[in-house]
Amino acid sequence: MSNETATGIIEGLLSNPEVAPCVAHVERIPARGASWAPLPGDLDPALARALSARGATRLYSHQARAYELARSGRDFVVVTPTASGKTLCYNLPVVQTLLEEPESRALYLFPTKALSQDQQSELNEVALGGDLPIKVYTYDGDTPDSLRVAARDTGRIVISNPDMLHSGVLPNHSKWIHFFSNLRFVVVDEMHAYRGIFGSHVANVLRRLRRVAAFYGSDPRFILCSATIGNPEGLARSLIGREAVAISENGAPRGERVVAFYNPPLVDPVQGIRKSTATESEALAVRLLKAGVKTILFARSRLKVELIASYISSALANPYTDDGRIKVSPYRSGLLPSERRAIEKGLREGSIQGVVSTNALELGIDIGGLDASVVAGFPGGFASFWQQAGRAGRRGSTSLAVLVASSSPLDQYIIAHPEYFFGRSPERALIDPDNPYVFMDHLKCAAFELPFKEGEAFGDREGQGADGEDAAAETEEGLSLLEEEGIVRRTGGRWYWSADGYPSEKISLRSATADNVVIVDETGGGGRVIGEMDRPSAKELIFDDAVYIHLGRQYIVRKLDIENRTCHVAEKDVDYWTDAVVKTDIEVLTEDERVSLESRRNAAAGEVLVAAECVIGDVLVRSQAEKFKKLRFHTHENVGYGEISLPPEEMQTRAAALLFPPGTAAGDSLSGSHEALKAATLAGAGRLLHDIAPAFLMCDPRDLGRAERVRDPHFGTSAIYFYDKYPGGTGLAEALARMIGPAVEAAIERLSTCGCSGGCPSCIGVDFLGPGETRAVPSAIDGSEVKSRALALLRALSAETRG
Amino acid sequence: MAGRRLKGRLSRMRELGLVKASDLRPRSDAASAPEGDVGSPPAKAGRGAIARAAVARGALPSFLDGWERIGELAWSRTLRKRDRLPDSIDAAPFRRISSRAAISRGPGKGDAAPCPGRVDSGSLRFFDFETTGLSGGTGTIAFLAAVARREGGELAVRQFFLEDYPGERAFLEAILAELPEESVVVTYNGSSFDLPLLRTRCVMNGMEAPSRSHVDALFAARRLWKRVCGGASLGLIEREVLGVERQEDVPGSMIPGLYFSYLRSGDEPLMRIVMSHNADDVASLASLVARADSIFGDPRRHAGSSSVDRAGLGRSLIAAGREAEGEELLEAALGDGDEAAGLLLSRRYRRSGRIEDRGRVIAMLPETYRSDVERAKFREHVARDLPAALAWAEKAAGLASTEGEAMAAEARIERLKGKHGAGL
Repeated sequence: MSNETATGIIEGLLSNPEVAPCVAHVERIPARGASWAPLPGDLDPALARALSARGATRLYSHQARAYELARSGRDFVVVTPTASGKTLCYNLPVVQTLLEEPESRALYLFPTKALSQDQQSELNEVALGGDLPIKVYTYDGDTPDSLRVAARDTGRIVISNPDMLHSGVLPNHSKWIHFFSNLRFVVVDEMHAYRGIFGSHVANVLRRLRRVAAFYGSDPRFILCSATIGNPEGLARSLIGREAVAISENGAPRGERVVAFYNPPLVDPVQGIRKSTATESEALAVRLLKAGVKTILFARSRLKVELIASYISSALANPYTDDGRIKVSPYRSGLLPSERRAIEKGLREGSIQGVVSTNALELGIDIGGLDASVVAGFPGGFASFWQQAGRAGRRGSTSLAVLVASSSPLDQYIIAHPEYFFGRSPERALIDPDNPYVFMDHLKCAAFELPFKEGEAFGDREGQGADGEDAAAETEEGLSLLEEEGIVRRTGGRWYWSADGYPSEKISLRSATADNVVIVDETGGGGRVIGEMDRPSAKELIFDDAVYIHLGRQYIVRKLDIENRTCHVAEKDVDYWTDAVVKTDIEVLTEDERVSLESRRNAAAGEVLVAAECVIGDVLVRSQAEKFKKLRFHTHENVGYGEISLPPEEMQTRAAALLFPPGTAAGDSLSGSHEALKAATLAGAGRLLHDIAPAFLMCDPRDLGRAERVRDPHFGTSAIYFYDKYPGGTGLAEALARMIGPAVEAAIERLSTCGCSGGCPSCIGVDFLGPGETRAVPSAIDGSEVKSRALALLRALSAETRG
Repeated sequence: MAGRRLKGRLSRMRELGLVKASDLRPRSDAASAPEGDVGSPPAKAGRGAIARAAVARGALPSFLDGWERIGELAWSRTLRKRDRLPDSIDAAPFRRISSRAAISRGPGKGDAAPCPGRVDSGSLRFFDFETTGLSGGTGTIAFLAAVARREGGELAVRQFFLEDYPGERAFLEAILAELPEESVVVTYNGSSFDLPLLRTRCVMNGMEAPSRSHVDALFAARRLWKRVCGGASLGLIEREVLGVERQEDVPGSMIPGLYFSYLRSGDEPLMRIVMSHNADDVASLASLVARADSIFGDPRRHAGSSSVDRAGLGRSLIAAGREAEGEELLEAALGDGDEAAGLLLSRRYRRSGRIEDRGRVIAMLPETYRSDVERAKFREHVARDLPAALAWAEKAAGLASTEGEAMAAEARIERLKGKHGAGL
């Protein structure tokens, strides 16, 4: 599609009378020229020839800077958007070094297998195009045994993923003696994917990698690449345990990008109910696809992906037009790898024109050029939004990204504040390499790999605030725990692994629990595996009688057999889907830190008042799916309930509790309400803060749990808990507590400008219940009363409280 | 900020009794409780047990009676067993054969060290490790080794024992001294277990990893006896083929636990049996090699025997370059209805272009999925009779027993139909 055509279609869509009234904002990000630099003077002639054979006779400025830093032996992180030539940022210095030093090796890590396959084909092009004597191997779970020996012994560049490094390479490092002895570079691409629990694991895997490399006398440099995040240096440092310089000036040219905010029309202004994000996104995607625009639609959940893809396909299936030839496919985790590869190929080759995806396609999997990206609901993070928007317009022509707002408070806040959206710095990606569960998991693996010496620290904490002695003491404490269990043996000044078995086999980097439930289709008596799901999700998604949607087909769960990790399903056409109602109990285990949130009630008088208290510590969270709702397709109306009888999930994690004891400003603002009104006020304010949180933390609201208590049994006062939804914690709840000031301000701003009369999905909600509660709303509660009480509570929490 | 608090969090969790190291995993349902603990030693271990071990360390464990200290934490002893070996053996039929190479001669892939031809029995070193686990990886160590060799008309079995981890280097050096460079190491499954482990342990101790000529007797044993005995574990073949009944033994799966139990408590009476198990293993290995060598030396004597798998014997001979003898054995086996032998012959005759022999073999094959596929191939490529090939492919599809077979048969039918249609 030519640039003029693209621009025409985009402008036509935005000015279409059916669309235009809902377009709340259009931002045109102008095209930008390239900033060039010459090829480095010391480049090997063979490499220079290989580059010019591919049409590269000069570099973008950021590529030149990367080369310079790599050559001076620095660790660095390249922060650039998609399609800015970032692979050359590491390929160039790495290949140059490999050409200069015939024994030297490099390791490339990608977060997924699919990415590493893309990367290998590109690298082979670099290597073969100029006849460079650099052998490149992919080493992952799919590598046949026959190639593994060659990869280990002769691979100069080995492409792998953290999981393979964790369970395949490091525990068998003695087979990689040549590789580790000569390891010069470790490339970590898509660094922003390593956040949350996965990132915490990967940081520990890299600690193990550095430890093993040191055993063989090498100290590789790290080159990291990341999408735009708020703390690239910080995340890089947490991951590799050393300082890394950031390169954030992008020298690549960019096509014009049109970013539109689309707010679905209000159908009930009083209750604040808008048309559904899913159906509005679907309609926009259908318009674009019919105009011949290759479109990707991002939805928030696997279920929504399936729903929207099937809506689009049926909308296009018009027997009187050619639209039925437009192919649209769902793409999400839980599909089999072969199914995913087929979809990627279809998109690249043009046999599929549209795709509906979860954030699974956010990463740099090559799906060719797309023209438009429709983002159904703010994806929970600004970095994530820009990644999804960046999926369109890879070729430099004008591209369109549409954010279709949901009625959530955060989406509505963004729609109303485009200046905030386009002006803010991106959020920070958080990991906690010292999550005690994660730390102990990898301490075991590390002890298996090499005995620990007395006084050795697992992971030098350079730049992390703790000095070497503390790190050594922590390591010793962890090892003592393992010794008590008889897993390691302390003797002769060392700690030796002293157990049968292979610790990394039982530790998954991807989820908190290693065990997955396999989904088996038994339609017609067969037994075909169609997917899998982690256990905690299974309990909330594929319980008995749940509707499971896979590639557009509906299945009814016949039996979720948790003990045998199997879920039996059978195909069945129904007109509803199911949604579990989950109940949560919290038990406080430790209080690590208690602070008073201060507010200046009267700034002029300098009077300081305690607004509320905040406790950070460990909690035990017990959650149980007790019943489920049946919701009709399209209208989403509730057409019935069902019971779920499954054992509860328990986890220990980190939490931040906001406490409102009497005598604090927030506590006082609650006093005088009757119990039910207090409960509704807390639930409303908690929900709003929870929904707004992703504006400040790089996370999905689902990564955080929440619970409100009118009278908390542990603290004896009203409380709102936020907790990390991963065992041991990811640091999110704690980080939210530390940013509570700005989050409260944003919540106040949203609530005070919300046009609804008594609560709506875009502010404090409508049912005024805590998560998982299902009791009927007491009729005595007046929505407008709840709204004003919640606003008062938030204002009391604010540091800027006016007297 | 998280890093500074790890110590506090770990110790608090421990003081409150909230976690033990083995619980430092997400809590999960009862059904998954054993996860993470598969290899852990019994729960009795605790500070008490460790303290006891330190006390007991002064006294010598009972099972080391008769052993000699060769290093601070390494021990050795020598046992003498009966020698059944001929003066030399032919190592060629012992070669590993990859499935492709099964029909032609030549070494299979994956032989780490070159496999020699005729070898003087005096240079053979029968070798076996006992280890702390079977899963491999750098956290698994060997604590006991046996090296048997011919010496003064007897089989001298030298054993080495690792008293505790820090003695590993001395332990390994003593073993390597028993495996001089010109020796030929003989193992049972050593290519995938004992020798990589020896290499790993050397690497871990900063020692040069040895490279020796190697005969892994597992491959020949599988070919000769697996189908006859219903398995190829050393214990099974020892009983079924060599007629040896051990008086006392421990199952291999218990051995790591017994060593850990010794390490923790300072003694473990059952270790005595582990040690004799290890010595018996190398002695049996020597007998097994002697028996296999005698069969390879006079294969015709076994042409009518049912105690040896003649197809496997034939394959071993072909791999050793004795093609005529090998074919003779495969033909004899086919004559008794051995389908595997027939399929090997058919593929072999196809390679060498012996169409008539192949046709004869194919006619003798039973009616099974695999044989019917072979017939379809023959009809298609040799007889060029597409309708007949299609008929056999359809027959094969009817006999398919796995999904993979059914799919392969279906693909063959489709292809044949297309080819047939194009030819019309």
